[in-house]
Amino acid sequence: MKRLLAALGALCALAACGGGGAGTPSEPSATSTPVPGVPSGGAPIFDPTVLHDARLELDPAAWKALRVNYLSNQYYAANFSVDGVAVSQVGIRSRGDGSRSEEKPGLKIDFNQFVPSQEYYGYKSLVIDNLTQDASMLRERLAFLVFEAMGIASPRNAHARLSVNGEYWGLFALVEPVSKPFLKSRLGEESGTLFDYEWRFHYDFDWLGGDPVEYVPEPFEPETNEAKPDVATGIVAFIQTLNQAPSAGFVATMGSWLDVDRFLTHVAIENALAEDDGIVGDQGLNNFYLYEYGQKNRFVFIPWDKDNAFTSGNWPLYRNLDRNVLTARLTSDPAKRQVYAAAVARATSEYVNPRWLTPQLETAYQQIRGAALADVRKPFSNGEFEAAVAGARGVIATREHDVNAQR
Amino acid sequence: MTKPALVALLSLSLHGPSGAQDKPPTPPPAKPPEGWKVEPFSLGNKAAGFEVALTGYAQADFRSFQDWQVGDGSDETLRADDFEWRRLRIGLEGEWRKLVFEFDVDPAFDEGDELKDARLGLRFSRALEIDGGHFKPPVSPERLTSPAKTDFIERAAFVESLAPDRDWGGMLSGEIGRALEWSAGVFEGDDRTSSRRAGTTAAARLVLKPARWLDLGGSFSQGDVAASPPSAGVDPRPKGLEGTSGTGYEFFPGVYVNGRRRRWGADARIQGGPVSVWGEFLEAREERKGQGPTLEDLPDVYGRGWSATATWLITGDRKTRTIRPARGLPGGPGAVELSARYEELWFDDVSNQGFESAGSRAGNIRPAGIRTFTGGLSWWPTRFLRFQGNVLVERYDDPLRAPEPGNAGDYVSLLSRVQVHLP
Repeated sequence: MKRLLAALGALCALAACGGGGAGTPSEPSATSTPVPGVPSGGAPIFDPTVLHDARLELDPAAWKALRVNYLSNQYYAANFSVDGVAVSQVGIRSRGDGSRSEEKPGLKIDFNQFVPSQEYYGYKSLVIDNLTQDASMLRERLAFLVFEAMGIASPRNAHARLSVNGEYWGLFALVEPVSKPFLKSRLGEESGTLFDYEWRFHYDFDWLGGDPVEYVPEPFEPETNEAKPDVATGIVAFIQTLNQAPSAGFVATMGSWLDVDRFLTHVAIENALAEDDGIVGDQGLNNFYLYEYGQKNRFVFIPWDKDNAFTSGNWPLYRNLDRNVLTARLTSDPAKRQVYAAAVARATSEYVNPRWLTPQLETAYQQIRGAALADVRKPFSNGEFEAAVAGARGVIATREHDVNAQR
Repeated sequence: MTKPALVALLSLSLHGPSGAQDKPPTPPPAKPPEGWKVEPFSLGNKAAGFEVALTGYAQADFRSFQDWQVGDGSDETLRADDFEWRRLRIGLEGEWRKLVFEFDVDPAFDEGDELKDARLGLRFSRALEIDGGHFKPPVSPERLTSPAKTDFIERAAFVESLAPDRDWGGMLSGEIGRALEWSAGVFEGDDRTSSRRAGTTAAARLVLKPARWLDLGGSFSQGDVAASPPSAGVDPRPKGLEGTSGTGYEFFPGVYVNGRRRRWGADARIQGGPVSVWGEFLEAREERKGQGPTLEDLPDVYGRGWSATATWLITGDRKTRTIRPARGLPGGPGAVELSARYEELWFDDVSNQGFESAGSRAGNIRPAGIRTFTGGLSWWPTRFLRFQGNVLVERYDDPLRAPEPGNAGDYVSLLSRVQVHLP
């Protein structure tokens, strides 16, 4: 009898205490598991020196539905591979705002949509950019190279030939998603709140009042910590501060909220690249992520979607800075205005010039040209493609001189 | 519930409701009126044909997942925490002449799911009773067994995944001789609190008893599921039945269905003395009219499962629906039962052509299944208390649908339960 009691007690205790097992449901989960056979710790799919071979296999009816309903975010199951490294039963959906296309859909791939915890090279998702808003098909790749060279963490990016059920569907770009792996590897932590800025109206960081719904989930859409009831508290306080903090000491005040010089460098790169759809875009704020570090009222901007870069060789040095509340107030400080101007100058003198960026362009061009010309679903002709590449060459050739002339 | 309260409850359970053994004699209670019989948890008057009883039980579950990482609850992959007040059931049941009633609630459940049984019936004879209210459609003997009395902590995964659950309805039932039990009813749906609920559902069950030790049963239900209308953005959640393991892991999330949902099941039980051997089979098949990616009809989806169970009360007590130890504590060891169950559950579609997909609108559904062995030990030290310990070993047919993608198993989990119940 005693043995029986002891055995039952031990079983109950073992279950209650967890038995030293690998984990219990109450522990923070290791929510990700790599796909077997897929190497971890690197992302060769974003290696820009290779034109990658991406393949999708799915039910033809599902592919047709995805294209017909290209405005929908409905997921469909597919098998996916890049350069022969396969992952099964991923979820794919149409993505983008203005770039959505029935003929050549941009795609978001969620590796864990149908297979919980599934990852691919450590990522839970991947963006396959359809490159339909850039006839040169290489502006974003070049722009991100400049951001990285200037020390601003930006998504990795590489071109790929995509085939769907064995049929060549065109030239696409594989874009690293801005998500927790990105935050962890590039910013060193991931516990904070990542906001995806979704353009909904012309907005320049104006104070819209203290009601969080004016800011979250639109235009600042939380991508992490979405369920936290106070997810908007920090960003509302940030916007209130940048609007209402006294001019005296404003730079110092903002210095506690963000790395001011880094932010000005981000904006400077956009203007060095003659980009008209970024933080000081013609239509207001656009194309960035805003990350609020965990446990801190501190933010950092992350660039996104740079296919509107290289718009013109002649681009005002301080273009639109006065329209955005944050850039206007920061650059009204002479020292910070100088920081901004110096950053534009450094970007052009070191990177956005024929010596550094043109070779990058030519390498990319040679790499993608055949696939681009064979891409019959791109919304522009082969002639327009060549002309757009030539246009980018021209912008690169003139930016340094143009900036210097304005200083 | 606080620890002292739990200790007090356990103490009550170990010593019985009177708790009189160590106390000085107390004055006899006031004598009840003529004909009335007062028990600790019931009141009855045979002459008046009246009886009412308090029913209820509390269950505390402990879980340990030995071989696998589990979710944090945010993605609904697991139902339970490592400790959970699983059930806190309280109710009344009774009869007055031909009228029978049953009512119980469970405040431990989520809001909206507190109501369990609420049944009012007229018993015309053993052969005919008519009931109405909120209760389980008569499909699957394990589903129809109270969770306080099941052989294992968790019902078989296929029962949890495929069998209907409580809903509003009416039912006729009865027993013909000692050889046949029957029940047939119509319900508003097949699970009132489920987002996958079918519409009006008819259900019936027949149990043949060719010998005292043998039951042979069959069940059937049929209802129609109406797909939610498509929305402009992302489609609504699928209403197809989902596959969930005994440890709460959802390995088949359900697909879009529209049309008939039909179940049929068969079961057999051999029971004699301290031993029982029984098995059950259940299949649910659902139509998918217009549920393809381009609104085409898709082949039916089915979920199918079976189990085989053996139990042995090693203390020699008689195996009945309600175990009452012949020699409970402190005079005896109580009742101790060993049990083992093997079960399988799998989902697929009736056709297997084209791209095999895990998508919710897959023409050719990627099959998903699980095989589970459960070993169990139950101990009833008194009429009021039950301890259970179960070991679950789970293996998934599709490694991609396993808790750790690529690792089909085996996944070992330990479950234990403390249950305090009214007799």
